[in-house]
Amino acid sequence: MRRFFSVLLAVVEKDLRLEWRTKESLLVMVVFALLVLTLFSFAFGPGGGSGENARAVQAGILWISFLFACVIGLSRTMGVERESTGFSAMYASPADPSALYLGKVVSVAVLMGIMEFAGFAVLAVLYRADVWKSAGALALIAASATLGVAAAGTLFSAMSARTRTREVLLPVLMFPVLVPVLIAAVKATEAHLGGGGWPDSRDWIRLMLVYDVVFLVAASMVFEYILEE
Amino acid sequence: MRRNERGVFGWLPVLTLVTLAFAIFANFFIAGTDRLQGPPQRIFYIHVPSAWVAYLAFFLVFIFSIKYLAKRNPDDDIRAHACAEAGVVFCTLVLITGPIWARPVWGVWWTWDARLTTTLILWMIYVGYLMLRAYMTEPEQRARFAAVMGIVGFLNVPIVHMSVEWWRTLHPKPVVMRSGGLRDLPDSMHVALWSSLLAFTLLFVCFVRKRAQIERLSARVEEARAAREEG
Amino acid sequence: MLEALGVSRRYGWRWALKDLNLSVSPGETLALLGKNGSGKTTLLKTLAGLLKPTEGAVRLSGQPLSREARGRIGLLSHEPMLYEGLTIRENLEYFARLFGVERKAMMTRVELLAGTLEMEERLDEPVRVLSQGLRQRAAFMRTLLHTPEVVLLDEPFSGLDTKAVERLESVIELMRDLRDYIVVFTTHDVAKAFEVAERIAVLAGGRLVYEADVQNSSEEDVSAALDGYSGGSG
Repeated sequence: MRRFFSVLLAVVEKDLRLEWRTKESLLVMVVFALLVLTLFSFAFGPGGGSGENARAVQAGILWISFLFACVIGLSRTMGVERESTGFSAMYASPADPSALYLGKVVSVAVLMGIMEFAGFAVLAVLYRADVWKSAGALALIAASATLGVAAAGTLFSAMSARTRTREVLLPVLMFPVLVPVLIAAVKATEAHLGGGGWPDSRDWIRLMLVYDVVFLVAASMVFEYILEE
Repeated sequence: MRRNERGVFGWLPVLTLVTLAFAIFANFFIAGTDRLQGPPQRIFYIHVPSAWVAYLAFFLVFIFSIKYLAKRNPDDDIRAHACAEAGVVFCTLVLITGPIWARPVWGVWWTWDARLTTTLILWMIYVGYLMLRAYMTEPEQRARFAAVMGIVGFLNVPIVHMSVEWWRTLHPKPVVMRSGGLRDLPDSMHVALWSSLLAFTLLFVCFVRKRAQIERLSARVEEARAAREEG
Repeated sequence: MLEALGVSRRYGWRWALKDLNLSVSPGETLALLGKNGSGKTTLLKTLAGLLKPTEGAVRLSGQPLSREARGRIGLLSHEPMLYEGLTIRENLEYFARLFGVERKAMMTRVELLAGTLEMEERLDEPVRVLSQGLRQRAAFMRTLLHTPEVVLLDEPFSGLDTKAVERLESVIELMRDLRDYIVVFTTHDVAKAFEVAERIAVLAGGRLVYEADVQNSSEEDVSAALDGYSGGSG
């Protein structure tokens, strides 16, 4: 068990250190997320339209922009592994593939978390959303959604990084599988941005947690077959 | 094809053809016209069996994928691939017949009904599966990656269904006229439905067998070509 | 003892290795010779457990190559397997943790390897700025970091100047004397193979076409084996 966490932490440390040096993925993720958030504002009118539907639109815009930004960030981090043949090096070691996978998931989730922080801030300013009122709930929603996105994203980007077309395939593989997370995250966020609150979001958060567990367990078990050369 | 390979399966195409002919006959001449929906209801006998076959196919992809990763027998990969392709074909059929049925009955082409939406997402997942295969060249690696996709994709089905169903029920539901449960169907409709289910399943088996056969042959051709280039 | 038992490996649609039998005993150094595309790299990766044989098996001390067994093998491949953005030391620390090497043991090991390879002053430079030769040495440190019993080296002498080659040779010889290491390396250079190895094996078209101890062989024999195989009937 200590070995497991040591490997997991080694991967996280390595990824975050590399990211800290270059800031390549994070910068591009944040800028992209903000760009999409702004673009949607043009598409739907200022503040995501008016009336009752505005909160729903805002929640949707927010999570769509996070998903898109995540794809870009993932291609970068996995690109680093590809260039340095990191996957083969991982596979050549006696380290548990599930620890390697979970380490990768954690570092992707950390990057996404930072990006989401910026995203929520922009949402509060540009869309006049009251983010502070339910900051705790939104953080919980973001955390459970992010874990799911990172879990699926890590698995599929590790795959697509090794195909001919690389990045092109990632959204095609990843988005359909992430539909439950997207629905749940949007619905739960909407509940807290509007007046619904916990009664409306509880089931959605549960759904995301179930998704996270199912995906993390399944992907940990099969990650070995992705690492193999 | 060599004659002596015709075992039980050799007669399968013939059997399929006969069953299919009967199913079409039953659809138009045995089953009565639905009182509420009229003739458009007859597409039910194509829509439902297609959906059944599609889900069966994706379940088989899941099984063959696990089997491949455990045993590393290339044949399991070929079978998973064949099932996925046939599954996508029948899934497409569901997505085409659905709107054709919906238009005259509900007045709209598409409703975000939970079952139909789940099928759409499923279709996307398995089109992704086929694209992943198409974009990879190394057969052994392709087989492994596809198997991972086949497993993860299928595990998602219940969660996708659940999320879509909740998503719909929290919204005002369009008035969906369901033609009662299965038990309410008159006998004539039962004949049409079950014969059609059988015919579609047999057709699916034929497709998969043929597809796997073609895949095996093309693997042999590729191998022979590679050997010739070397020598 | 490292054994390949009837190993075949398909790569794409062709057979990169075909029914190959080979065994290396502890303390022995084997040189793998062969032209480009003869299957040397594939064989080395298969012996390392990085590639699974399509048919046959690789065994280390009689056991199939499990994940734990991979920890007893060190592979230096064509690919650097180093992160450009990290320093050599950071790279080594990362790999040490993947291989489960204790921190203290890792520190002394890094000092020892850096001393032998004359890399002490380079440890804190990022891999990005290193020359080809320095990268090769850094990769060599990574290969030997976890004190593997089996050392597999793919073209270890390519891209190095004469001095660096000498240093590498001395390290290989040192390793062999220190413990019962198994060393397998690939090379194009017949003379070098005779200089360093005790046994020579020649691969052609994924098959083993020649195998002999250095004492019972000559450079002419090996060159003949290399050229003689025209790839016909096999």
